[in-house]
Amino acid sequence: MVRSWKRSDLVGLVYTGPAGLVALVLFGIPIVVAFYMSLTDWPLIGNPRFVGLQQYQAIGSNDLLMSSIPFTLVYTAAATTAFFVVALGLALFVQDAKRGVGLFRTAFFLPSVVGVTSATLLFYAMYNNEYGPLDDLLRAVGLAHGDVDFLGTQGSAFASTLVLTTWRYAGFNMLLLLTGLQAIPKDLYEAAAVDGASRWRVFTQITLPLLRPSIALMLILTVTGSLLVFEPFFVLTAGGPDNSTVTVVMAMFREAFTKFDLGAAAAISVVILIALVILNSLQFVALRKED
Amino acid sequence: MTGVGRSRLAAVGTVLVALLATLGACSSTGAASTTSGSAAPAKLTMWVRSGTAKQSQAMVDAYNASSKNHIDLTVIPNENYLQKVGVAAGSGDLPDLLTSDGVFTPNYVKQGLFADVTERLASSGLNTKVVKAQLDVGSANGKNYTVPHTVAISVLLQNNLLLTQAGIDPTAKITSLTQLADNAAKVAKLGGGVKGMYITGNNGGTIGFTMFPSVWASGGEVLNADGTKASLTDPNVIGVFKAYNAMYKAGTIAEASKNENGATRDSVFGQGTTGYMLGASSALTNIKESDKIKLGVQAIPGLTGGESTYVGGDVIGIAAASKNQAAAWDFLAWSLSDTTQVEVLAKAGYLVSRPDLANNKYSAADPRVVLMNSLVAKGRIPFALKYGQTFSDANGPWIAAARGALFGDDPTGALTAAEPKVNSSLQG
Amino acid sequence: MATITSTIEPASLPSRLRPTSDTVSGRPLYYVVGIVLVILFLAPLLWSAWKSVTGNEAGGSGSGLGWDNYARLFAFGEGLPTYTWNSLFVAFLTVFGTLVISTLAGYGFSRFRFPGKNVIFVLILAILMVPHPTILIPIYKMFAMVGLQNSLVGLSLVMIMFQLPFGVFMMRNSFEALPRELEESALIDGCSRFQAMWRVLLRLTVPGLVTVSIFAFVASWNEFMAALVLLSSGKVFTLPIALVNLRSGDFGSVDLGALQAGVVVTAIPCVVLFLVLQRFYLAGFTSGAMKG
Repeated sequence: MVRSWKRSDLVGLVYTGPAGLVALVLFGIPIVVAFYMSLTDWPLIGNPRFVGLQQYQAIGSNDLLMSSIPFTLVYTAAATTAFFVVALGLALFVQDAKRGVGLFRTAFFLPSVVGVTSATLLFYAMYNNEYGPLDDLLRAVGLAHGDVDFLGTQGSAFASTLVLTTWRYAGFNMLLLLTGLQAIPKDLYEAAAVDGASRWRVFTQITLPLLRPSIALMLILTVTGSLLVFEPFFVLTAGGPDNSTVTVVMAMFREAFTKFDLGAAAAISVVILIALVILNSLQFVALRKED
Repeated sequence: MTGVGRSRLAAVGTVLVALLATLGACSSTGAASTTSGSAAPAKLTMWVRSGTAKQSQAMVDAYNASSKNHIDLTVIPNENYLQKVGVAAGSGDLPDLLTSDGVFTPNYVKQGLFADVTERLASSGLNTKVVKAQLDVGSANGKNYTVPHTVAISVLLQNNLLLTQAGIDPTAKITSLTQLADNAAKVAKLGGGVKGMYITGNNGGTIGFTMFPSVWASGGEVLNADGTKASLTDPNVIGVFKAYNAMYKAGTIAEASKNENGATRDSVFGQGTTGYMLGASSALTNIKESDKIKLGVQAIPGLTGGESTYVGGDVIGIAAASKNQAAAWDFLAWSLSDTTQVEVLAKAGYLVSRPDLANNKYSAADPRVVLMNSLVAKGRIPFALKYGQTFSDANGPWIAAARGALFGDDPTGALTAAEPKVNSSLQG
Repeated sequence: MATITSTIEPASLPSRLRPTSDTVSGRPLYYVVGIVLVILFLAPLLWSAWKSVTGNEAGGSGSGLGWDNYARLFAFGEGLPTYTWNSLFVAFLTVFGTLVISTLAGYGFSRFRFPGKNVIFVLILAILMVPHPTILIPIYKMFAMVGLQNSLVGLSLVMIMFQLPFGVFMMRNSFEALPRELEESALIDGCSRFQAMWRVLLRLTVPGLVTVSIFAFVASWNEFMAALVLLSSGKVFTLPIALVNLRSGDFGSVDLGALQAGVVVTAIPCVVLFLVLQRFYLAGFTSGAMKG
């Protein structure tokens, strides 16, 4: 497949040009500016001062940020697994046109239309035992006894947040996988049915392999989004109890808007960006190789 | 193709260079034009955070109706106000009139966001009449940069219906934390899901807002005068936290308080299942009375006596770069005048920024408002440049100490251990 | 759109032969499981809707219903219609811009090899990988230079940029799922490249287009941070800013009634849009249409 550039191939630049231009102007330039910011001591209000790589050197001694890294990685692993399993199950459940499926799809997707902060506040209210109905419900169905503390320990705060984010994002990812399912030619299923293949064989031999591009997209979105998770923990736990649920972006946000140090926040962002580009490239290569 | 690509690249490059060139020149402290053109009508812009927006809106509406000037008020969410001001200040886009939460004002003043209003204030004679605590936070080196704008204070709220049920006279003044603990325990004994007391146990800013007054009322101090050192081992500080810790351990304080960051506070109390709550004066307008709740207000007591409050609300200043200084001052002077304070604020049930007007014809109808107005004059605002990142920060040193002191097994130890961390944050 | 809908004939789809349908479909079990799931997913929203008319802030006397939360929402600030209009403007502009740019780019990435292809693709994907506040401040400064600050068009441009990684990736996947023979036969018939994409391929990527539209709409309709940083006058504020303004009070307090009513009100346009568009997700749509 090695060939030199043909005129007809260069046409690709015309098609991708608008997207490239938008990305360059509205993202590329701001990133360059952010990189410049990361080389300065830049108070939120006041004049910046060039400090070289000092902000990058300070990252290692930022204890809150350092302790947020393993926590964020654990959350990402848990969230990616949960979103994928639930979303794939839902997508398979609603892939066919049949009576009532439109309502099922709508119900599963509905949480995704609620703003993340609003959804988080809603769950915060539900998790409040004096106000929300959740603890009474859990006791009524025998899933809990006595006081239920949804946010009081690291474990419960983590689980409560994961329930919220799975609820909020499952339908979104369901739609993404559903779009991929639609692209699988039905003749393949027909042939498999004629051959008498089992449902499991059809799933592993036809559905999963042909769904790979959609799964790749979902994984990139979910892994990246989870590593950058902010609002759910910021609103639900505020990083508590005792800073045990602080995420990387919360630690970044704190530098910028609590400590008013935009330079330090920019340096953290640049490191996050580089780490994510490397991670996603690896993920991309891994998912492509198997083709 | 390549020609187009190159010119695109050139255009992008030009923008980039221009952008970087302006980055260094983003200071907002431009020379203020002191046009005293009070003759021509002016269009002013003003920003306020959502927490205090109702009062500001009422004042701006009344001003626009009566003045030849016009103010465009923009409300910005509480949590994002600092961020918005910071971004705008960096680009010279601040409004003519900028309100600010009291505790963040020293930093804004230090950064030169506000114009000096010392002379205008002195010649108006208002400097001796307005809330002193709010005037002080906006002063530096003997000069005034802001004036009081809206007032909210911390108070002890009570559900009179539950109190009566528990055999407590709702009108009797609570004189000490000990008495509060006794009363709340009586309410908790009512059973049936009723709780004695509710506090905001997972928000450092609110813990300070509602518990520092008890320290002050007891004669103690939390911060030194220039806000660089905290005295968490002051016996009064330890005493206050021990008192709440004992209430928590005794089951008088609802367990849910531990996770409360403030978001559900007023809704929980509004359900009418809690006897007392530490909160803000704004709860009086936020919480609707029903057949389950009748709201009463008490001053926050000291350990064994006394009373105090933490003055929240906003101060307001004229942006240093505003081209409408005279018109902007016209609004400030008007907002603090007798008529505005009484006919706009007091009439709508809000607290006044003029302690001399605490007893007015409107507040007289509601003894709760009279009480709160009288508290304002005794109220305080802690002064520290690093207040936000020390006390309000959810991941800062204070919240960890306070939660340890409120809910842990060793209040004294928690406060003692935290003092150096808090101090280093205040000095950092 | 007429040509698209005409190709969809649910009856022609042999759902009997699909792996899930011949074992579960038509059985009560499918619907029992479905209803349990629906309850789980809808419960928080139904609770919110219920509380919005019965909570303390709703103002119902005694235990009756009260509409105060909605009344406050409607009258707040510049009024609900202004904020809704601003948000709809941004949402529609974002959907339109995202669709056009993503479709072109998706086609370009799936069908051509050209210099810089990987660089452009990585640049677009990298948009996902930066916390938004980091680039919003530089964007604000850029916009201030060209007069796009405090503008709904400027906000829409930023929202289109945020949607690009998903949109481009999605459309690239959609085009790649289509066999090249399709457009090659069109090219032989004398179509230009663009005509081949426009007339032949586009209608086969409808599920992708629908997903990109829904995501772009929901994201821009709900966007808070970018709107707040880029807009600075109450008149151009979008619905999410107004809702946060209405609910967030002093010292961390939140008006839960306003929150709950806001959740209900903001969900409505998304539900309508989704109900209208979800019918385009038909199993086997692509191949079925190809044969026809």
